Amino acid sequence: MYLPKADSTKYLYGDKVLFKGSVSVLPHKRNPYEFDYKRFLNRSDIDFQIKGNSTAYKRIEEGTGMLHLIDSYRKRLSRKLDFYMGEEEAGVAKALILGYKDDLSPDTIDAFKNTGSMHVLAVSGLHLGILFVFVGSLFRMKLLSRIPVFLQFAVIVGALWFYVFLSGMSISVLRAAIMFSVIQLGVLLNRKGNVINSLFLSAFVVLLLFPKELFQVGFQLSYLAVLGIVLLHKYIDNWMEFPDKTFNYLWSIVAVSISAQLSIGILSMYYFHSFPLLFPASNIVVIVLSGFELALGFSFVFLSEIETLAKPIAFCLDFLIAIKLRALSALGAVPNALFIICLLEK
Amino acid sequence: MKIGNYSVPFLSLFLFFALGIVFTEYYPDTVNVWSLGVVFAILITVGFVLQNRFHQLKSLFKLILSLALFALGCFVYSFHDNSRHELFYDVKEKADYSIITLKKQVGSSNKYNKYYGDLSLVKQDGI
Repeated sequence: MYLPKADSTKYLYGDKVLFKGSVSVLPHKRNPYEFDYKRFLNRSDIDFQIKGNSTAYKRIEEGTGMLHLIDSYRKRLSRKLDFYMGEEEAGVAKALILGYKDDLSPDTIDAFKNTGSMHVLAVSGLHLGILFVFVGSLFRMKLLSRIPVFLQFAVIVGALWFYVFLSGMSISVLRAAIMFSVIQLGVLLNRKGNVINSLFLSAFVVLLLFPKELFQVGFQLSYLAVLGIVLLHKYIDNWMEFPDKTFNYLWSIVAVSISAQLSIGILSMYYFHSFPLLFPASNIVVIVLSGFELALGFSFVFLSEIETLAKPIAFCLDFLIAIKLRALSALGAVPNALFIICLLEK
Repeated sequence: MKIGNYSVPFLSLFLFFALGIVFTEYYPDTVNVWSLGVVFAILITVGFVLQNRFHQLKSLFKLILSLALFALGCFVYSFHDNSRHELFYDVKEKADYSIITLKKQVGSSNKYNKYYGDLSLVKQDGI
């Protein structure tokens, strides 16, 4: 459904919109080897489309329930980020924290794409992992550690699923949430979890709910990357050892990105016809900074209503994102940073 | 199934289920949603009966379970697809009004915000 921008900001999850007239069926592809847009959209469960400027429309019923409220809060946070931060930085912050990527400028997207750092902009396991560690560490504090384990489980899993809905319920975040929930359930039942098993359980559950996801690039890359990290990281991490802890930590980040790129490299070249050669360097910058940015972002989510706290948090977030964007632009400008694969068509 | 030293039972679960989905995507005409549901139910029942009665028939039980998962993949995928195809014929008949229940924003361009939602069609007297 296409709604004119000026008018559509008030529409939220669960709202019912009445259109005069029927919707239109998507057109089939007309030429051989042409990209099949209809099939692509069908695989995302989109079969029809309607444009708000070609017909009269109005909201006839406002949505209700938890998802409606979360969507409303998401829009509110998005407006606040716009208010406190620079345009480009707010676009990145919204993608990073709220999974809302529409305000990213083409230059910003190129900077991330050319350096192999796009994964940071998709809300995923990294984001949920930081939230998981953050909430989990609260229960290691003396005061909170006495809370019964099942209550800790409820709070941790509740926080994770709240964030899943807040960030727009993308498949990568759904996968991570199912995985973390399974791991946490293992802790509750005193059973040691196997990450690969949890990964495939989450893949099975996701497909049971959304079977068409199997054909989505995001689903394929997301699961392959995690599988690669789980299987290869420990071997690649052993390739080098430094006397200094910081260097070991940085090498560990590089090892994670090498494992991920090894597992998704071929598929990524097939879909995007390119391969970022500077991914080890860019991932150090991106992952280290994203950790701080996400910690600030989660604080902003909970404290955005208190202006005296929200303002400095947004300022720091803006500063870190500005550094990251400059670093990525500089790395992306290095000659041959992106290896382009030319395909010879029949 | 095993990966290195790890036993990964959910890998088999995922693989056979995913195979069912892929098969249905590429050969949709050979798959009938209801008969697949029946096949799945029969296979699961036979599997349980065999496992309870003949403990030594482990490989046969595994084969039946794999087939059942494949059938479940086909069933879930075609069920998901068929419910939307019914709507397709209603759209062709041209309703007077469309009601869209919004689910999420899926993108934006210079002029528009794009939303995804559930569609229902109504005639004039249905309003």
